Amino acid sequence: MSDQNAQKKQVPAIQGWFTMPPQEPHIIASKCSLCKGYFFPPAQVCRNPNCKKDGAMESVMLGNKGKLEAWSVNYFSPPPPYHAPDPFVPFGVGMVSLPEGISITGQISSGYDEKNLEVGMDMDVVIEKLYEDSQGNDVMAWKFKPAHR
Amino acid sequence: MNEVAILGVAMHPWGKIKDKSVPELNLEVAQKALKDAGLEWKDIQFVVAGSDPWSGVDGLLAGCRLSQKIGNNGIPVVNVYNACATGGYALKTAQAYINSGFCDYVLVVAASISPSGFFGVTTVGREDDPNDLDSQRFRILGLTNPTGFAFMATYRMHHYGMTENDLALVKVKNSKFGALNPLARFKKPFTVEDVLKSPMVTYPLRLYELCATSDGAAAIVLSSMKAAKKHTRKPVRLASVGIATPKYPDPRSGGYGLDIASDSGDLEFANGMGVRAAYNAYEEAGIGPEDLDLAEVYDLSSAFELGWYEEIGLCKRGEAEKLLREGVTGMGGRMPVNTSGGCASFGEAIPAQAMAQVCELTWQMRGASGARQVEGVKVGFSVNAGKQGNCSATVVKK
Repeated sequence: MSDQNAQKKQVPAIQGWFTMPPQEPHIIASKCSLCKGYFFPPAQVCRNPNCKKDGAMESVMLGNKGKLEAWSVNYFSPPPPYHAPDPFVPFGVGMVSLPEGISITGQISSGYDEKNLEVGMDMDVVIEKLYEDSQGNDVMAWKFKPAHR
Repeated sequence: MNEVAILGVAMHPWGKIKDKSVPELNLEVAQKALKDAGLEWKDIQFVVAGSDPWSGVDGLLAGCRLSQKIGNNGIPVVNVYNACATGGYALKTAQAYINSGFCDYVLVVAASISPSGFFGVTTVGREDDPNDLDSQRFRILGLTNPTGFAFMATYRMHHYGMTENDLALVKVKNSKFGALNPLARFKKPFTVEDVLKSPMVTYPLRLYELCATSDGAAAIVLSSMKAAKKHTRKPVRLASVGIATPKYPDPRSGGYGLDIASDSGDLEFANGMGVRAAYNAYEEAGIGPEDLDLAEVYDLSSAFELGWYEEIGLCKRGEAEKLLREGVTGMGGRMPVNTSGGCASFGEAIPAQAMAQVCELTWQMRGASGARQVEGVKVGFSVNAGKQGNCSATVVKK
């Protein structure tokens, strides 16, 4: 048992979509060198139809402070591949606009009382555990946490 | 003028259909619509069928299986799938073929047998595939369709003062119409108290404010206006079909709130493609929202119905709740919306649902809607939106 714990790792839900601890928490997007558009999830080709598309797609860390645009609380377990805890625990989901002008959806940080969520709130990007995989690793991804700024 | 004649319409009652498959349902409604049109199968020159994503290859090749069942006659059969807007895309395809002079008589048909509960992912393979965005939205975000729908609701509550009572009122209004529609799945007229007592699924949306997953089938026989003269003196007309897909940087290009991220942080115009589909339909028909007598709008959730009032131009941004509360869009109101009962009373049989809207408008124009008939209607409108931002709208004229 203690051996397993010793081997327990944090693994990203998707490699390259966000930074991993102990780095500062950031979502990683693509930025087109020509039209300066930001794209998440990272894009191989610029998704602006009016762009010439022969520019380089640069990997950039998005600002990690944003505003809550809309939100909800899930009271029933989503179907797989959502990995639901047993018993199921309701959780918040929110859309947060980041300083680069794109908005990203994510779960609300575990342990926050969703009843206090409000459109327009300041939110921080955090990297948290989503679930434990079959090897006992913590699968990590971005979530949003209400900030006090 | 791109208008074509609606010669025949038919629907199978919506519900959870246990004893019939998609090919059987398509056969049944096709034969009913042909009878309604006064035509025979051998008169049909072109078939456009909405594919059912839940029924395997029989569902994907819905038109081919129908043709095989009713008697292959060598005509072109097109199978289309554009999520909730499938019916609209099917009608647009039929309209374009008729207006190009390729054919005079087209059968448009769709059926669906869907799973119960939340729609999940339909992809198979590695759940950590970064290109499988649908899997990632469930896995990383836990974002079901209703939760995506709820974003518009919390947005409206904050910006426009929508209340939980308003959400319930939409269901109450639509259930009043649905109670009078023999084709509807849910025929109980609801009270605000009934709705507010139903379980909270995804704040602020309750069970009875969300569209159920249903089974159903619809068929529509279209013809050129010229050919229609041989069959009827004054056919109901499909005056236009507007379709639209997302356009960069529409904020919600994957459909209502179902994206992992947007290309823009602007939620205000969350449904840009729905607005474009509606105005494409207005433009093609040469009318505007002020000319409408009634409308069918896609109420996947109560909040969406309110969004549509604004997006199709029935009122300005932020005024939809007022229209609802004043009864303008209700039974006996100046601008009745969802006289069929809407998704609130039908649930959604995805590929057939946009066609069901047109069937309702056709019956209303014929004066054949029974107890839910709106008197004196001449111009009807339908609009819907679905996954991947597929949207369609129609204008139906007496």
